Amino acid sequence: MNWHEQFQSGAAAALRRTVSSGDVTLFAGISSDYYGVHTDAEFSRTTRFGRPIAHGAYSLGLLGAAATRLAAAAGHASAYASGYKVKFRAAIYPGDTVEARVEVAPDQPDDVPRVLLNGTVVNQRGEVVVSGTVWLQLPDRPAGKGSEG
Amino acid sequence: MMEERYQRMGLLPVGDSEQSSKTITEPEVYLFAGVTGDLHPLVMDEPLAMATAGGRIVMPSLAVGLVSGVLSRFSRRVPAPGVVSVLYDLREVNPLRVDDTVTVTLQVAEHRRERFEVVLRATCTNQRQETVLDGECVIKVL
Repeated sequence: MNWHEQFQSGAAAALRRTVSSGDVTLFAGISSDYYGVHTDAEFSRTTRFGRPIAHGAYSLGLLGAAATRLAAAAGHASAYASGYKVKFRAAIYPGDTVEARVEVAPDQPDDVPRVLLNGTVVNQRGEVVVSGTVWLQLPDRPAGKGSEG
Repeated sequence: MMEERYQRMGLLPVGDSEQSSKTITEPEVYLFAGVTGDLHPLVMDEPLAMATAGGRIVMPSLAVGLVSGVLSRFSRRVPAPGVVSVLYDLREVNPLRVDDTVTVTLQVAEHRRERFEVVLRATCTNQRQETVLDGECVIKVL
């Protein structure tokens, strides 16, 4: 059986986190994304958000973290989230507690060695802030090294 | 009101591109792991990564962050109330590794006028000109 066939439909993993303003500041520094809605309280006031919000890309990082947990639980710890197709539905504010959750999708592609996950990020009020799909795959292995699965 | 919004879309004309290069250092990779909670063993465990992946890799989500960084250059062209992200569709093509220098290029591909959306094509390449991440981002002009 190929490694990706060992992921049971519906298997899930999640990660909860209270997002801090420090997370947003550090993420801005790492990504070089200093768009005002993330880093400029005055500019944020002129937008629909009213105050700084977390980066959309940050929520993909949270989904990746949930995918890492799912992979480890399934016994394929080296599998990782390699692709994302997600819609941004609402903002994450510092102080929000979000849960990023991924679940093995019922329908899997049979032509590629990847696992398709459905992913959501939900805030403390139960609002879906991000939803979409995440691809899980194994790393390319250098020739001559051991194999997994 | 609507005309004004179309004018703001015009600040992001089809064909316009922005590019930026950055070396991804180990401290950034570790900070990223901390802020996202993604402590992937291929990122944090050198011996394991050597044995299974030829060395430590960088999570594609960090490259997504760099795409977001270049995207923000477009976003900042639009005066308040600005823009919001609608959709990211990005896939790893080749693995990214610590100390790789990534060049991120975004180009405006399409205007969806009826939705005030701007579609941008995104590509990340490494120092060997191999594509590491590829896809598109959709933003909405408010």
